[in-house]
Amino acid sequence: FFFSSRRRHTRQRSVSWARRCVQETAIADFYLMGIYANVLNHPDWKTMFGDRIEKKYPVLHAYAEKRMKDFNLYYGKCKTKLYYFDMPGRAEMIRITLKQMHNPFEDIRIKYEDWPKEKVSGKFELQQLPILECEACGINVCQADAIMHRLGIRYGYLPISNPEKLYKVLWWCNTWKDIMEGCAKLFGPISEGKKVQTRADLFEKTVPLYFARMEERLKLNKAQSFLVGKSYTNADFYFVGIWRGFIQNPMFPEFKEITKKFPLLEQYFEVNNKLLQH
Amino acid sequence: QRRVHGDYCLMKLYYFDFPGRGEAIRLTLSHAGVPFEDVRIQFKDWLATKAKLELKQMPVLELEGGKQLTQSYAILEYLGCKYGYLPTNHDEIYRCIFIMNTIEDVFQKAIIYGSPPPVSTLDEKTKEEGMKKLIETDGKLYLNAIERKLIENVSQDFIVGRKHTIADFYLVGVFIHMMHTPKWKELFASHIASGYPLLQSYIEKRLTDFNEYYKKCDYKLYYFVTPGRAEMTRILFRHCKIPFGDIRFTPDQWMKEEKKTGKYELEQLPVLKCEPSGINYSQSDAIIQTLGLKHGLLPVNKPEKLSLIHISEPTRRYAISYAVFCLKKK
Repeated sequence: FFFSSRRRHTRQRSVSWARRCVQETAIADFYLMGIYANVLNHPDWKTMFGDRIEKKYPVLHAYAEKRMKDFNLYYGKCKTKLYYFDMPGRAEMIRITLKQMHNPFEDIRIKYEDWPKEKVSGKFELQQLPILECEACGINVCQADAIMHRLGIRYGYLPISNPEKLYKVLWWCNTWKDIMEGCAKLFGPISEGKKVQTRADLFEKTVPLYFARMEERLKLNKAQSFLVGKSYTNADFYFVGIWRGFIQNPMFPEFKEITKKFPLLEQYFEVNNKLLQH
Repeated sequence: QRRVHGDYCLMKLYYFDFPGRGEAIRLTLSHAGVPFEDVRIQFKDWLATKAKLELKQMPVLELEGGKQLTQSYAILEYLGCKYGYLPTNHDEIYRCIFIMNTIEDVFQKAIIYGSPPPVSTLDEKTKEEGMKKLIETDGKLYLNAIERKLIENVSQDFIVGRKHTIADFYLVGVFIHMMHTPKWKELFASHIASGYPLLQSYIEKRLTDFNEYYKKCDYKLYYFVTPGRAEMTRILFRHCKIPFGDIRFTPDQWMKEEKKTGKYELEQLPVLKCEPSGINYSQSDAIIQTLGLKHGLLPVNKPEKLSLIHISEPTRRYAISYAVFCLKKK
């Protein structure tokens, strides 16, 4: 009845009201998109109304095209590409998250030999990996931590409305990030003499301390199947991703000795390693 | 630490006595108007305090109940979420975290290439080359990315969105840290001012938000020659060691020259003014209570708040009994 001729004045009024674009997505946007998708999918309605909207209401058409991009993932039109080296490293947690979101992505692995050329090609904003790209949605984002925040908020893996829960998740993420940065520093610009000392500091003081605190928190957690709350959060993805990328990495053999003293952490990893594949 | 009735403890922030990682948290709390105790730990006391902390790291935010929060980014996002400085849109939050991580990268490299021997053990030649490379290639890349984010933003007065976010406080904190250390100041300040004018103007605008926090406010207190109603405000300024202009009029001056000029809102004294921040307060009670709130001198407990009214009652010339209204309902 929405398009019936008897109610022509109501239809025109509704369409011109709908020209207003709002700053944030509201239920009106979802309603309009639902109807627009209906129009596009139904063959008779598409021939009747599809062209009319494009010609007579260009602003509305532009708005509808923009908002349809938000739902590319739902309609299966998202062509996500993740660029990283051929190892777990920093991108493992992003791969896990994308798989959990049921977002089929292209896992592009760049080899070390090709990296110097690719780096300067202008494709990578900060000349760093990992990069998440989706041409259909117009996204080109870098910085692993920022990407995880973006995906977490969009798909509910970061409890943004509850400050206390958010802090708990972020504590886990930041602690793991500290361990990751500590390991990465050993391969950065550092003098030989300091390397030995930094390595000793890291594996004898910092890592055992962090692991001890993590073990305490795991003991307090009653459910024990998730780190925070009753479902997967960014904390779980960071845990499994960085464990695979750094703790199981043959370049840091010291981790094997340390993890033997923390059985709860090992057990948590064993269980979730199988569940969080990509 | 059990919270006993009538026993209120403020939030405490433990950090060193320089900006660094704690400045963003201090700015967030001061902008939100949350009273907190800014505990600054000197280097000589660091080892003793380290033993009491959970992760042997600072900054640490100790909440009212005694719980300790660590990890500066986690604290910043927690406070942002609680007081409305965290955007809920996925794109905006990506930009916030991107900016914070990018600056962190630059900072880490600057520390490696620019610090004296105990902190960085590279030889002088590698340090010089590294610093040069940082300013010319890597630093440029990062600063360009941030300036681009500012240009693409809806408003050029804020780095993300149309209002204050944790990214704004973080950037101001980093800028203050840069100006605080003379070596960074000489290396980077002119570089940013000349190469990134939009970023420079944005930073200057956001710095004006914190004029009072950094005590750059040019306070001027107008009153008569006598102590009178303004003496309590003068005492507060002296107690908090805030420099202020103590402008005193004789009754003749006031009646003939100043009263009718239109500069004084209610044609009454005392008046507190601060040109850069646009402050123009009248009414002695309101002035002292506002300043007290800003500097943590107001009682937080209800019974204590009432006693403030009790004390000010007898000072009035005519009986104004709002204290009676407060007490009337048993």
